[in-house]
Amino acid sequence: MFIIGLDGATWDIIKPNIDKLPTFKKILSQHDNYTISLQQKPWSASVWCSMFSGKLPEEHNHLDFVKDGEVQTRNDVKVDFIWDILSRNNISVKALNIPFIVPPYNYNIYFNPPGYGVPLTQEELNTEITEITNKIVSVTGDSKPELFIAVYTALDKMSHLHWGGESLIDYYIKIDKAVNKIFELDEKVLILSDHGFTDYDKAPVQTLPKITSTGNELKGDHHPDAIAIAKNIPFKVNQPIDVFNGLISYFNVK
Amino acid sequence: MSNNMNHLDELENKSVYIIREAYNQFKKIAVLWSIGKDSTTLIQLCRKSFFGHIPFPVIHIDTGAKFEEMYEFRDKYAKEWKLNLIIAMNKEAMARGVKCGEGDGFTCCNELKTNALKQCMAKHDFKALILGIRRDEHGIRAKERVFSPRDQKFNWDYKNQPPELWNQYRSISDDQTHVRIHPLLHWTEVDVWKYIKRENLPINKLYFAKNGLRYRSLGCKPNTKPIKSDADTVDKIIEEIKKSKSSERAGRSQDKEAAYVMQRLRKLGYM
Repeated sequence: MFIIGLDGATWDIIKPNIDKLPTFKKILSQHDNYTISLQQKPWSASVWCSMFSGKLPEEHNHLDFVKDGEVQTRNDVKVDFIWDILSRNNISVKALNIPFIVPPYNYNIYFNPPGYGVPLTQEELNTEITEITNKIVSVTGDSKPELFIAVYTALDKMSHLHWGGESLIDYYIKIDKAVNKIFELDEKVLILSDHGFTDYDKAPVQTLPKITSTGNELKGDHHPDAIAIAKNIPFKVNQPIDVFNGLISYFNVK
Repeated sequence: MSNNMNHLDELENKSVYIIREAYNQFKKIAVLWSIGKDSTTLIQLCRKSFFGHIPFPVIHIDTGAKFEEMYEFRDKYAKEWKLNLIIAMNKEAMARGVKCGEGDGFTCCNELKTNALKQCMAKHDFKALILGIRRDEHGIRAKERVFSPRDQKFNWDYKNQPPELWNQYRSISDDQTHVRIHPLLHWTEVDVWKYIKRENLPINKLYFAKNGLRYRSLGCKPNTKPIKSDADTVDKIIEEIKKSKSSERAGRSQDKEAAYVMQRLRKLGYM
């Protein structure tokens, strides 16, 4: 099974621009797709953590990348993740670039993310797509695990910085091409986002200040409607914790 | 402290007092020896505290990825100082293929260091551990206490620690799994080197410059990088540190990365 995360992906960009996104157009016509309306706050760190630990924010208590002025590490997140549990049960698993912390977390795979996992320049933002895709494609044959999770994180940064602009549509086109390269690599594929996006001033919660400490103006912020596209996935994701619960049930582990 | 004491005497005196108090409170106690300069200084202080013979075990957590020079140093001085050396290794994780420098930093540190120590603590039922950390070493260590309780999961609740005002230590703790004791907390990097010089302590040769490079801090081989330096004697190292504006652990990849990450997150508005 293959889980592809697209941090911050929203139907609000995909559907109005579907003719520019041939891969999305094709897979949406062929496979289940739906909206995950988050009941928890749409904070990336917290949602990815819930998704792969099965814990609600009040249980995992990991709300953001920074706490009390310090960057949080895996050590600060006091939960077992799905990859820890599956490994204990001798089920092969790899997790690539999972952004519940920065730099994003890798399990059983080595990856050095552009921009220390916080890609900001256009070059870093574009490089992330290429490098993640290449890494995914390189995992074949004996090294291919029973569960492979990989997340593209730079879409979130693009959406914060360029919401409403043509460059964001261009970025979705690059994501579309990447999905085209990886979607057929497994029989069972689940594409997910951790939250959606909207105009900064219309966002129900502001996750970051509009003007950052270095003077950048953020154009977009998180929306609680996330996306899901499921190819042969035997469970429905209503909330982030359902990913974990569905995987536990599918692999029949405790 | 007596006015007749110099600065190093005062530091030594306080550390010896802490070590003896710790041994008095906890019979099931051990000292961690990473083979670096701080923990080797700590071993010297433990030897001095008990007139040459350390009455408790010395634990070395072996990730299998230390420098060859560190293993040579360990074996030579463990024998010479007649240490009751326990080598803690998480062999089960190593058998599973967990290797330092491969995969993410957390897994190897957690499996090969933290879990190796947990297994060792459980096996020997240790209730207290003496460690050679210093406050000036790293931001987070500035929050440490001399007697620092840890809960069942080894967690350190830094927001809920006993106060240590006027050098009054809460050395007894009945509701914790174990207590960590830090007799070098009040020392600085320069203090350690001055003490090494005064005591003529043997110290790992990796600290001394060779071909323009030396290690300022020693960890696992894949994660530790040398700094540019011509300091090939203790005196030169002391002079170099006094002038240095970079952090001691700048060669440790994890610390450097956190600083870059924080800088980048600030650009996105994180405080």
